[in-house]
Amino acid sequence: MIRLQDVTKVYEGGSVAVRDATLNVPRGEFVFLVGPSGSGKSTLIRLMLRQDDVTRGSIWVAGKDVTKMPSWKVPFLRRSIGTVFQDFKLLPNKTVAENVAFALEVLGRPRSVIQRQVGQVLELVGLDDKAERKPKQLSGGEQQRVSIARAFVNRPPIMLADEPTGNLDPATSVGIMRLLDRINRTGTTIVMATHDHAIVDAMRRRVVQLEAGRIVRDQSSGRYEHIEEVPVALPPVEDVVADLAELAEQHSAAESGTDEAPVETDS
Amino acid sequence: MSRITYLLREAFINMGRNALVVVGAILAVFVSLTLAFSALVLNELVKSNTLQWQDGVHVIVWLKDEVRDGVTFEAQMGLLDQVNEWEEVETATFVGKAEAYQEFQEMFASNPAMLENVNPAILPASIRIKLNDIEQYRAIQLRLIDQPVVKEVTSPGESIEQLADLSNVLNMIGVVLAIVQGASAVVLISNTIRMAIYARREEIGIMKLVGASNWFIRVPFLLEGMLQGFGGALFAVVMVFFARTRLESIDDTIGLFDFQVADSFFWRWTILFLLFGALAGFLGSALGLRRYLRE
Repeated sequence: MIRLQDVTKVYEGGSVAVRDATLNVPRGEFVFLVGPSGSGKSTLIRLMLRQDDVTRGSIWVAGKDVTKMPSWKVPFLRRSIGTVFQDFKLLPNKTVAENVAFALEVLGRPRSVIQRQVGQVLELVGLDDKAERKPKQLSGGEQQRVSIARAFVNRPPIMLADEPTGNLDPATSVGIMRLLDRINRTGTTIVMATHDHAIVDAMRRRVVQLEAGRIVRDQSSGRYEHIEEVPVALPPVEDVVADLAELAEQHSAAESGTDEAPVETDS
Repeated sequence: MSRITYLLREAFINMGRNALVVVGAILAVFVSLTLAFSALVLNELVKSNTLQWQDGVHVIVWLKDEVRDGVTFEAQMGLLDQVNEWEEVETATFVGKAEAYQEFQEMFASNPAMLENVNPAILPASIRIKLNDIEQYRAIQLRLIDQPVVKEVTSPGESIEQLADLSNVLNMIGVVLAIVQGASAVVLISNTIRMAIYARREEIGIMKLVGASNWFIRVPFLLEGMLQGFGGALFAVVMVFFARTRLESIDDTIGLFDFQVADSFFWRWTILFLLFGALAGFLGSALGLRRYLRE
């Protein structure tokens, strides 16, 4: 679904963000991009979205060479990719439903279709009762659910998430991960950049580790930290969900009610 | 359909956000186009008046008298036929003594003392010439002056030329001012568009992320610029319309100068100016968009 071949990105001024990265993500896979800040995770996501041009190498997304795509085709590429960011990127003066509908409006979908799909996706993320609220009236976790709803409302085959839990407390993060997991199980390929150890360790999915722009590890059902270990079979999804639930309980026991309190965000 | 309403709504919402700057841009277009339109109307007035003043008579040939100078009526008619042959001449008409007297009577109807001292015999006959091209009056004058039948040749040509010169200068000033002001209007509109883009950069970023096409993002801004240009042009046209109505109302009291502008002239330019305003707005917003929405 996504294929990177010897991708190098040098920013103006000479800093090398990505160096000879080669990666193949099959359809339906869930991949974590891990690594410290500045290791090139976000750059990779920007390159896949063609928000930046590669310096060398090729990137195929959904069968198309992104690097050779004329710029007028880029919007069509982006329609096949849902994006979720750390800072949610919601429009503050639009309601939850309007924010989600916006993604369909710009594609020129008819109003009736928009209404139906927005309703469905808000139900999926569990915010159908808050459709008329403004983003400011929601907690951080809820805002991120809205942004996931917006990314998913068009049913894209691919979802890219850049630190989607970066602004959220651990218990809320678990909720977000459950949601992403559900979306992944509908067949959506997900690439998620993160440095949230707990989540990566609990999910046990494929882990691609970056360091100074290089891919230094690519491990299926890996952990955040590289530990030499015997390969572990992928746990059944139910176990993962159970793990996550346990994690959530631990956290909500420690800090009760964090999910409901509005979270300050620097957007 | 919902798309068009969406785009228009966006354009209006945008303008509402920057009302003050938008007003500035519209006023600049208004001033520029009012100047240009006024210059045009002025020019048209001068042109129509210089033509009308003499009832389309560009050269008057005063003929020598039958009684005093022994020039026969046949000789006079001979010259008339000759003049009518010239290709520069549109029409040449003979005004005999009796007609000249009639004209004189009309002209001085309010001055009986003048009329008493004049009888048809002392008024000269004349040939009145209408030219195809007024510019040629001097050549015609020179050609006629040597004719034996001709006593004197007069033409309003000189005063026409002076008036035309004056109107040319005024026009030039008007056009230069209009161009400068028009350029500043385009720049102003491009600035308001830039501000509008800046105010909505977050929204635009999100639109790009969810796959909105560039045109979908650009069209509201282009529409906004066009509406501003069109709005300014509309004010200018309305302004000139009222000025024209006002001018026409003082027409009769002076009588010397005709302030009528032909409807066809006025409406043709009204449509052109509205289109021009929209075009200027379009150019301005295209200029403003160029820097920001490049991929």
